[in-house]
Amino acid sequence: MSYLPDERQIYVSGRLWHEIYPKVNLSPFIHALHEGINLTKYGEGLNKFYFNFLVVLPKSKVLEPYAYYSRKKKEADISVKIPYNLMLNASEDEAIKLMEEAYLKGIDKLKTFSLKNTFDIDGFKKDVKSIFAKEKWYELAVAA
Amino acid sequence: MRLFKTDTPKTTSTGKEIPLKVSIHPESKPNSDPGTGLHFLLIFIALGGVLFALQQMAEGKKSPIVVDESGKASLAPHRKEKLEREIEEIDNAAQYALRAENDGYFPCYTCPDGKGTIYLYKGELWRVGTTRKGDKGRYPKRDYGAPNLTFFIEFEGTYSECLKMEKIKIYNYPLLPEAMKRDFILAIPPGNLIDN
Repeated sequence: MSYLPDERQIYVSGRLWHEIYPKVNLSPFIHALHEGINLTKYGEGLNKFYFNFLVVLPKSKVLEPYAYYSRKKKEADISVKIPYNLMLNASEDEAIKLMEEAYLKGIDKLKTFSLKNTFDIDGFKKDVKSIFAKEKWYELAVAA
Repeated sequence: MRLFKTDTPKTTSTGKEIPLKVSIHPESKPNSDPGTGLHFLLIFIALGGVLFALQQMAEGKKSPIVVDESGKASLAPHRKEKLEREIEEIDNAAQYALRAENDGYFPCYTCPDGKGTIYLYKGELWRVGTTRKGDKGRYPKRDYGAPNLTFFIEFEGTYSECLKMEKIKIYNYPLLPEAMKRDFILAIPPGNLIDN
């Protein structure tokens, strides 16, 4: 597993109901996106991208998805919910697919911020998609 | 501002002294007053304060009750809404655990050696806490107090129930296998500062 500096551009975390772990495997996302993405390539509008997978019990009312952007710091913080039952019944590969979809949805949420002329959101999304398109990328990312 | 005399004292024919003309030396006259920007800022802050005070007064004028045609008083809708929202927040809380996402060193607030760090293996407990619905201020940008931690919800209930669960887990921490295998005993999880 590659060395991960505390200070980086891409942060991936989870807020998870404890019984769903370790099916929600954050490590491949943390490492592959840190290794494969350089935000400066897409413009100056975003220095840091914080993403949070939210997988909580269906009736839970405590934690909700969110999306924040700090124009001053050029940082986005986005949380996307994955339906608990879908994750519960998913195989390991299906769980990764659900997480990939959630991450790409999170990138789309960047379009709600005023980044139009300062950050190429579509370019960012395209590069993330190409990381996810590689065969068994999530196994390679952790093995590296 | 430097001043100087432009003429020597003069007198009129009647002997009355004409006051000296005083002018500002052209070179010493500043192009712009450095205090002007500060004045504008102070005026801006003062205006903001006045507007804020007026807004507070307007809100304060909203009556906390409404009286219907029959004279029956009840809570004003805005107060009722706030009450319901705050009760809902108290009723919907979660006890969480922050666990190591990867093996590595993490801050330790109560470690006996004074190093201030502890080595945790993936999945080991760093901190136990409680959060409530609407507690948006907690851990923005996944800043949990240390990097490489994952947030697990372990129990949901009322705020009181979650605080009790949190306390039980903090006090029982030294009995966990991961805590007992160390050559020193930690009374509480390494990321907790005190017993609650």
